[in-house]
Amino acid sequence: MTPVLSISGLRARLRGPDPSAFVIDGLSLQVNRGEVVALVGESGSGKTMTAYSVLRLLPPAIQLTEGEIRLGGQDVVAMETRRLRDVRGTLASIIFQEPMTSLNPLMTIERQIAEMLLTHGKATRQTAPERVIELLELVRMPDPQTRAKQYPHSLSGGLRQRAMIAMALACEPQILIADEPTTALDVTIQQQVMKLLLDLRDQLGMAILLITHDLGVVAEVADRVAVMYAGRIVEEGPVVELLEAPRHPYTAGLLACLPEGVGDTGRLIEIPGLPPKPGSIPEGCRFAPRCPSATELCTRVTPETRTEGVQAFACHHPRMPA
Amino acid sequence: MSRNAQDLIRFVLRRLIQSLPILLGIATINFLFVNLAPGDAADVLAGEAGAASPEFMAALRERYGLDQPFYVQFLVYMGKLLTFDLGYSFRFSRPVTELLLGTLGPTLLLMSTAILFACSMGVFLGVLAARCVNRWPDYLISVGALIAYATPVFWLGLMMIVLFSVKLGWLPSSGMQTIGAGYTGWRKIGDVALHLIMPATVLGMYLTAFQVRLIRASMLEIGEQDFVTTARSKGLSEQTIAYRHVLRNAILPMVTMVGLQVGAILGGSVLIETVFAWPGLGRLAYNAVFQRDLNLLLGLLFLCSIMVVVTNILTEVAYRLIDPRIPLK
Ligand SMILES: Nc1ncnc2c1ncn2[C@@H]1O[C@H](COP(=O)(O)OP(=O)(O)OP(=O)(O)O)[C@@H](O)[C@H]1O
Ligand code: SF4
Ligand SMILES: [Mg+2]
Repeated sequence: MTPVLSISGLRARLRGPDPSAFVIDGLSLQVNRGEVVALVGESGSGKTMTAYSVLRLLPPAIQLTEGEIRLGGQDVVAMETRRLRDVRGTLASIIFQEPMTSLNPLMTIERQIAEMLLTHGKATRQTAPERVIELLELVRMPDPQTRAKQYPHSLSGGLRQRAMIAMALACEPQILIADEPTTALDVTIQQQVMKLLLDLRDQLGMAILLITHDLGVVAEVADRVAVMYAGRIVEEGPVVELLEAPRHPYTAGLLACLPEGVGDTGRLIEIPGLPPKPGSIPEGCRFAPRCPSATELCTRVTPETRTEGVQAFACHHPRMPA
Repeated sequence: MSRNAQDLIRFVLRRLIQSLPILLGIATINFLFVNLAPGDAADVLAGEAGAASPEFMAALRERYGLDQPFYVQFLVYMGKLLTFDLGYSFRFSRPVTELLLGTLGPTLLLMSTAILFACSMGVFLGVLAARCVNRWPDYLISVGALIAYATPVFWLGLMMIVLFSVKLGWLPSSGMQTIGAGYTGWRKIGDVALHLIMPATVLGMYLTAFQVRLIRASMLEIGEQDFVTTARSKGLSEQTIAYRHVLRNAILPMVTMVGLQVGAILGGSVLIETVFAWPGLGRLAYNAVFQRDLNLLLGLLFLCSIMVVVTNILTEVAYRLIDPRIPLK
């Protein structure tokens, strides 16, 4: 069965004088039907840019240079603009971290959701309002009739994120890309929204690529986890194995940062040192300057990704399996 | 909807009442300034008449209340103002109110055409420049705006007359209608429109340049906001994104700017109406100043302050109609 989303060898760089300023540097990732894959990593590791590149939404400052992205088997990179617009919202949808700024402040919730339906011919002007209410009910928006007529500023962050989700799901995409969908919300609201996403996954059967800082959430909701460091996936595997017995020192470092192990709403706090900036990525293993297990080999040779058991990782000196 | 309409009417009424003290304050200042200048209406009239006996002067002063103490004159003036009696123009031998009402129409026509022209060109060219940012259409528009911005208005007016009226003979050089043609209906409207083209363009030029630059900058700024990425992720075309999502937000500063610039446009129309012999308030003001027609001048200043206040209320209403975040309070 073809995966819903398959990225291979993706590279994207900052436009400018430095040809080596890669923001995404050889990233490969697959998401299968109905699967929840978590993409985790420190700030600046390129998670958002990866999400953007799936629908070719990269900002003008960033240029996709190499690699392949397939959505439901179709090549997104080579796709012509007209076709790309059809794909956006129908094959894959995206929701963002900031529900405060992701909705147009001058349009009612109804209009913004209806716009998605009308653009893709999923409703007519007559049927759209009714369908919008159905969608708002689907995301458990309280009092949907009233909310539909309101502007984003009269909704709380949690309700706006529900509206965003309703919009993203309006055309029943096969995959929902959620870029830190709960980071900007209160803790209790975070849990409600996460639960909503999972319920919708069960109900509608779409896949979710969940970008998050929050390993607690990952443990609860993800089927698989991909750990990203400086533009590259350094470890990937099923959630239980990966969190219980990380093979890559970076994953282990992230886990060690959790206050009370996995399960709390622990954020990634700190691994000593800073991740490299695009353009100043060291030779060999890019994690070497911060890695407790680094050897001379690590600073010279870039580790290839290899698979052992269910986990894949890129490290010369992996930690012991469970 | 009717609820909104009610709110709107209530808002406008409240604003109008709030601006009454402002208007009276402005009228007071106007009165003081005009009367601080040496000489009074009697001096002017007498001076024109050549010789004037002291008796004639005294009679004039008595007749127009100029012999009264200053504060009495002031109270009388304010009292009349409240009934829209702005006194009598000795120059034109007609009541000031009548003169003002006769010239208000042409000026409003000229100003609103200029503003409409500036805003629509501003939107059209500003959006075009923003969508072609750092490519040749953008450079062309930006340089053009800069030139328009820096061109003296009266010079431009004269040059246009030389080119379009004298050399090419396409457009009438002055006035609002063809004298003696006696057009009616559509012919008349067409005739006025033809006369309107040059003065409105010249009057709106500066504002156009301003708006083009404003809209361009504002489009670029709004274009980077998250909701634009959301719109793109929905599969909308760049055209739809620019006009439906970005422009609506980018237009807000333009509305504010129009409100702020109305005073300047009113000032500009004095110049333009004089150059193009447009029968409006501006030309009347020019005459009032040079002929020391004090009552007329006071009336004009008062009317201008009303116009500025009213446009400010209108821009506020427009802003609130576009932006739901600001309640009609
Ligand atoms: N609009 C942009 N223009 C230029 N560089 C950008 C832009 N957006 C992001 N970058 C750069 O791309 C790199 C990856 O950023 P990205 O936003 O993908 O990180 P992230 O993993 O999503 O981080 P966070 O957890 O903070 O959201 C960073 O070095 C960042 O500075
Ligand atoms: S390759 Fe070396 S430096 Fe890189 S993570 Fe593994 S042990 Fe650390
Ligand atoms: Mg991000």
